[in-house]
Amino acid sequence: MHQWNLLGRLTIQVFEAALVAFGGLGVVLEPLQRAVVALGLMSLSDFARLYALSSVLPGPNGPIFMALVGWPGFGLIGSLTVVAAWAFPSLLITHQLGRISAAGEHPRAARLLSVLKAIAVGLIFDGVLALLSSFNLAMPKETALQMSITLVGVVLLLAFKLNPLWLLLCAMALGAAVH
Amino acid sequence: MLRLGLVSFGGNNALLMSRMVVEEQGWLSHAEMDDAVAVATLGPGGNSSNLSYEVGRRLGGVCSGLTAYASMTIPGIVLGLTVGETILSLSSQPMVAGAINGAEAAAVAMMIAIGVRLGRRSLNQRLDWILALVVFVVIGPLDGAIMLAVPPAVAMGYLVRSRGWMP
Repeated sequence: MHQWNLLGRLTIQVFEAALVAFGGLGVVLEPLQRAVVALGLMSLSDFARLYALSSVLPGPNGPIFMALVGWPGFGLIGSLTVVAAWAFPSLLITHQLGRISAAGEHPRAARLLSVLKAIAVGLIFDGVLALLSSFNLAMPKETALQMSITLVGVVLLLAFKLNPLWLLLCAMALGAAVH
Repeated sequence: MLRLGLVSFGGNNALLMSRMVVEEQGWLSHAEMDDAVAVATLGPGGNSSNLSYEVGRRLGGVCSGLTAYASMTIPGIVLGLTVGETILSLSSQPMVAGAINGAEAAAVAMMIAIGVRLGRRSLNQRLDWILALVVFVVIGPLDGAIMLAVPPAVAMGYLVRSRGWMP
């Protein structure tokens, strides 16, 4: 199959996944993996390796992962195309929601915004639950340390308005020291 | 945003961004930042990238939003494409793995803090609490699909609020 034809098919698959990726990359990882492997672009283990890499890199893992997926075989054009396919649906929807929120003084927009904010609180705590489930329970010492950092961190952030950057740096130093 | 792109681990940077944009620079008010967080949380594709776009858009339009999005993601992409293999092999080293675990734990704390702050300012009526709880329980503990939970919750919430059925 022609290289650019392959890139086109990959772009469409990523675009379709991005349209329904409410909750982030994790929601569509499995169908994406099937599609990418079926196109013959990489093996399952390569896909898993790129996902692991995107998870340890700083920044949002969705676009970073897409850049890594688009790179092999297609280079910079591939990376940019696949990132654009991933970003476009989310930015378009975010943009429209942002416009509704900007019209917050209009009674209908204000009503909708208050509903959206309440739902966002529920979604944020779903995200918390998902992140907590990623703690490795098979390693009790590490899990206990992570739970302690989280609990102390919440108190420091909310009660003492600690700069979150300090929390991040201290947590990384503590994690490295204990290991 | 470039700075945030380099220090955002664990997929959530709302609190870091709030600190920078609201408290340090004074570019947005707390209420505007709350709106941006809500919008970013509801959009598909990842909260932190959406939030960078939304904050940028509020500050200077679509171009600023796209610039903020790019600034947030470029550091990670460049690192991944250039020294990705080294980072991946380093991440299996105990000390680096420990630092990443610590960063993940801090990210959870930040996410809880931003959720509590948004909740304090947004959950003003009984309906707000019900919507937040229903969405949380259906998607989290019950493992339901977001698309099955959020659109009906938005429709019901808007209808109930418009008709004034619940104070």
